[in-house]
Amino acid sequence: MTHGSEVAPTPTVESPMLGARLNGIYFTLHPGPRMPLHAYRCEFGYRAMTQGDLRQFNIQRIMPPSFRTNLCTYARLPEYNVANAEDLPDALQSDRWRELAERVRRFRGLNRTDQATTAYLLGALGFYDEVRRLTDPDGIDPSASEADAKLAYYAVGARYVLFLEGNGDYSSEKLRAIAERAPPGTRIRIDAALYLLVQAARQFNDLAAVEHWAQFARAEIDAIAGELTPFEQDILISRYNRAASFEPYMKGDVAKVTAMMDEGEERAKRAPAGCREEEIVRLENLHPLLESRSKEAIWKGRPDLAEQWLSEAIAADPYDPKPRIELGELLLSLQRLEEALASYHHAIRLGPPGLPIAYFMAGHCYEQLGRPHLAADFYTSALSIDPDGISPAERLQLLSPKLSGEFDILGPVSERIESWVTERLQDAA
Amino acid sequence: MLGTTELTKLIHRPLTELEEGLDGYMHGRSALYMFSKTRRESEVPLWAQRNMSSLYRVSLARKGLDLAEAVDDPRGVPESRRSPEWRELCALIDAWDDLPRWRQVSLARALMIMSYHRLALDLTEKLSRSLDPMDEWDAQLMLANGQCRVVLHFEAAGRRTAYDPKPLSQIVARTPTASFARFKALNHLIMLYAQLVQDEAAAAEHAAAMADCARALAEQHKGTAVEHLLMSNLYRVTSMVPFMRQDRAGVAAEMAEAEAHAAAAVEADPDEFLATENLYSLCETRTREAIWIGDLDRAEEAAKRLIRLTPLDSKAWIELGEALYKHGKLEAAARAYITATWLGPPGLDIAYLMAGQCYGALGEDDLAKHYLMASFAHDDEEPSAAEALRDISESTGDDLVTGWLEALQTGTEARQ
Repeated sequence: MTHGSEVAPTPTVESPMLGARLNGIYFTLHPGPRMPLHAYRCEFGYRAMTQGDLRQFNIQRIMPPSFRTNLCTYARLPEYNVANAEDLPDALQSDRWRELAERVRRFRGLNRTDQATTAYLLGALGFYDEVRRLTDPDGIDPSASEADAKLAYYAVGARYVLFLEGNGDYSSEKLRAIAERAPPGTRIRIDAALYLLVQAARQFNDLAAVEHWAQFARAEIDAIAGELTPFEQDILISRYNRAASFEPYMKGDVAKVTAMMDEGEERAKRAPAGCREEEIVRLENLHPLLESRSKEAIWKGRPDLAEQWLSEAIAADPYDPKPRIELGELLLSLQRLEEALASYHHAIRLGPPGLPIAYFMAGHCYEQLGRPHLAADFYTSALSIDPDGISPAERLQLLSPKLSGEFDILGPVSERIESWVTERLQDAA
Repeated sequence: MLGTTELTKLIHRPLTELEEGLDGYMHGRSALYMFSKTRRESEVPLWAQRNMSSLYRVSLARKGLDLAEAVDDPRGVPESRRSPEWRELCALIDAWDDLPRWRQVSLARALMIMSYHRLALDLTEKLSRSLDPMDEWDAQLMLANGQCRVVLHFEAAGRRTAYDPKPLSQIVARTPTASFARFKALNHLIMLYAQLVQDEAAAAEHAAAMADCARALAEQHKGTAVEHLLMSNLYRVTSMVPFMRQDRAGVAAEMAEAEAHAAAAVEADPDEFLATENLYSLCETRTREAIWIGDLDRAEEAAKRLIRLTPLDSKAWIELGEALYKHGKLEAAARAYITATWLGPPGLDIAYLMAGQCYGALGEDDLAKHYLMASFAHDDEEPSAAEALRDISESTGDDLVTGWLEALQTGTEARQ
């Protein structure tokens, strides 16, 4: 599948890596002819910013802050790994990037709508620290307008994703205020409630909070249902079902989880997209749903179904390595080592995100297959993208003495590798 | 892939900081040796033989080493990041015009071995009109200038255009018989005539002149390591003449002489670095000779001997990879090439490319694509990796990689 056959020419990204081409929008702000669905967050974000439109098509997936750094390292484009969007050297700035940089420079003087759309785009590009620097959730009243509520949401969201990577503090109180106090009838109330629901389930394992926010979100959806197009209804309810299925999951109610996910999947698939952008939104919503379904299937002891759903997720988003890595994990658990390897190899070819994991898991497969030299090479590759990775360093430390067995002359090299990773692990400790 | 950047940094420290690196990398030792020669006048103007591409530092930067400022000129390293030795090097460059001739020669040689050929050429060029080839140090400066021209010319032209050997020929024509500069100029001319021009008569003529020159110099240094170094070098280079005639026995005889003299040089002066370095170069040549002759067991042994001398040198592992590859030991060859990639330049693109070729021949398509893509990532101007990758992607129906290569090649991605 090729998204974006009608888009404008893309400025060249001078990188010899395939994944850098696929993710070129993170460098140029111009969409490429083939790109993973998460990259459309940047494209739609740019359109929202330039059109001053808060209700542009939304891409749900939020990339972690480390994604940008890893992408730049992988692409051999360290010059793009800047702290702030406007710090990108002039010579590297595309016309679109210059527009963004200009808005960032004038951020304090922008109206709330422009601030919100600019913050959204900065976050989409991975500049979460910059969003944190530019915004103050305490200084924004989410009840003032939808634009205020959205700006507050992006401000809090940036802090949350940074918090997940150990960078700064986070309190869900601000998000709660957005859900409860944003103007009635705005979808940002639902977004905040679903975000709180997922956080309560994943981070805090708080069933009461999950129940509360599921109920809250459902009421909000019902309140605006009459204003939604059939497409919007399907997508929103599909999203809701995927998130709210945490409630029966935490209660161990398999049948209810299945029923909710069945409906979520059905709506995700049938949502009648009326334009190309809606089709991208549909696929982008379907992709995580299918991934969730595969986890559900594994939970239910049905790896055959899990494999089917992951294959569908791959078909929905062929340029995203994530479902390939998940498929690799599933196949590995089924002892289908060669097939798992093929999936990890494909993920590696696609580049970030998840590249260190794909490298590490491929290394693990090679180790299992009795090919330590290849295992060592893939572990070192994992470390090249994520130098702080403990697992590949530990495996490499254990593996390096075995390398000498391959050639009697390899001893000095394997000793050096061993001492290198040992020092690295000591530093990490 | 890039995971061993720290290892590469440690190995290549002599070339990036002029400080001791990990033991086991001959080129690093050669750089430190040559830098030490800038401090004290050499009685004998013989230098480290190891040659390195002027693009070597670019390759190190691609491996992830932060040398952007010092790719073309050591003075690009900010003051705060210079080691004391690096500061000394920069000060010598700044003071070039005021240095005595012997020091200018040593500095030019140090710069060349550190892959600063362009800078060495610019510095020696300034003196070219005032040099007298009858003076050994002046002739050495002319030689350095001529060698830099050769290196830079062939790297720019991709070895596809003829080279004008006039600068080196002038040294030969205008220096006395017993001149070290003449000896090395003849050495380079023989290599040029044998490998590039493929003019057997000219190579043979220069080989005879080099033999006269070597004997005259050896006579002056009888019984020392220098005598054996000269003779070892002579036989190694003049073996190119029987090589051009496809005379295998002739090559083997010359190389046996070269090896005997290499061993004798080490025996005469075990502490002489040049003797160790010469032995290394000889092992390298013997590996290639054995591959050429088709004695692949001997080639493998010679390559392993080379690795024992310099285990952290990627080039040595590439030699082993080649010997194993030619022997049809593809899996082992791939492992040798992968080991080379852990150590860093030189030859990273070749090591990745050959690992990919090995796995391709073994029918392991994912691994083949993986290493071919790594080769392409390391040097996207070298077409071999892209061509091999295209073949394998097309044959496996990998539209993703095929489409990407097409877009790269035609530049039409933006218009798709």
